[in-house]
Amino acid sequence: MTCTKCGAVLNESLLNQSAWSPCPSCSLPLRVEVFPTLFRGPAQVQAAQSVVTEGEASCFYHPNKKAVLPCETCGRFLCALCDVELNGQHLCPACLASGRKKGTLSNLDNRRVLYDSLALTLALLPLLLWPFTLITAPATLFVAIRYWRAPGSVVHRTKIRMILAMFLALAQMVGWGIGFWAIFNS
Amino acid sequence: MYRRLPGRESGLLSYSRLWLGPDHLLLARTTFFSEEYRRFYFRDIQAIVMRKTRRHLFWGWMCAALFGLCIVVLFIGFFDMSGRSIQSSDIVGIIVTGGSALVCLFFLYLNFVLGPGCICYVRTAVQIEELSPLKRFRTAWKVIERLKPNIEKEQGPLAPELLRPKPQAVFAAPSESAPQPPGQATPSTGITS
Repeated sequence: MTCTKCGAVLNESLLNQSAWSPCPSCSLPLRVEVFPTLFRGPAQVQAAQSVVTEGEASCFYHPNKKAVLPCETCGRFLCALCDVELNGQHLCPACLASGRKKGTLSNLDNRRVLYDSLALTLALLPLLLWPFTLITAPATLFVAIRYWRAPGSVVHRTKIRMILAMFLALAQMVGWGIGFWAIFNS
Repeated sequence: MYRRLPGRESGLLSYSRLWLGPDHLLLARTTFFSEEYRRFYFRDIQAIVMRKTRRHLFWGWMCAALFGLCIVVLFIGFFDMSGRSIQSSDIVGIIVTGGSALVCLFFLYLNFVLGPGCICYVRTAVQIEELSPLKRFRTAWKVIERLKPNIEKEQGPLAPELLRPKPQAVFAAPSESAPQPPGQATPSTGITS
């Protein structure tokens, strides 16, 4: 365990203390909460076993390796090397790649575009310069409809922003419609 | 699925928050219309390190200095007004300066209530990442208190003997930089290049 400022090694007496303890090198007050993983060695990588007997189930990707379990998505037999554990599921590399591509494995997503926030901003911001709403209102509606099913934020689950953006865009379009109708009729 | 944890870092165009997942801690950074995520799985977290900073003292002194400045300006204004009749511009000046003093006082109080500042890091076997939303010790400690049961559920309890200082070796091995006694050669490995 090292100091985050100077990199000096911290001895055990500084760990899990109930008060600030100075770093032995830079004297900056530190509080360090450690957990059992710190004291464990590196994780043992399970090597794939070779097929021992004739007729024994083998890995779909490595026919000469012994299968240890099936993929929970496609059912293919996997050796210990091909088994990838994610969210408590055992998957094969192909299902993992496919899940990442389709966005069904949310734990692999490192970045998401927030279309709901984009639609709401498109609906709200032009209200400061209202003539722009003639263009932005249909644009808002397009974004809201086009990306209605697109995965949103990992942490926000509701569609309230999308609904609000659509409602505002529709109100703006109705307003423009009434305005044009009044101008042409007069 | 995710529960929001205390603490938030706000920048000019972005902000970061921490979320508690079923098996991991999520650091979400939102910039304009995109969100970036960093996940720290409970089974991988080796330590959480907090380093005390003096940022709160800096902001405390800054607010106090601005508050003092506003009070001095107010006093000068009152002293100036004592010899003549009050005009409408004087009232505007009193409202603006007095309002600024109150704002400074509010921030001074807020800084005092939030408590000392800190920088918080999470350490795993392969990374040391700053948890930027945790800028105050009180908030950081609240988060750690919520994380601890989840981490212990994954990793098990920490054995107390692991935290006992290890006894120092009485006979230390000679270091490479230590001077060799005359006539003694460096032990050879038997490998020649």
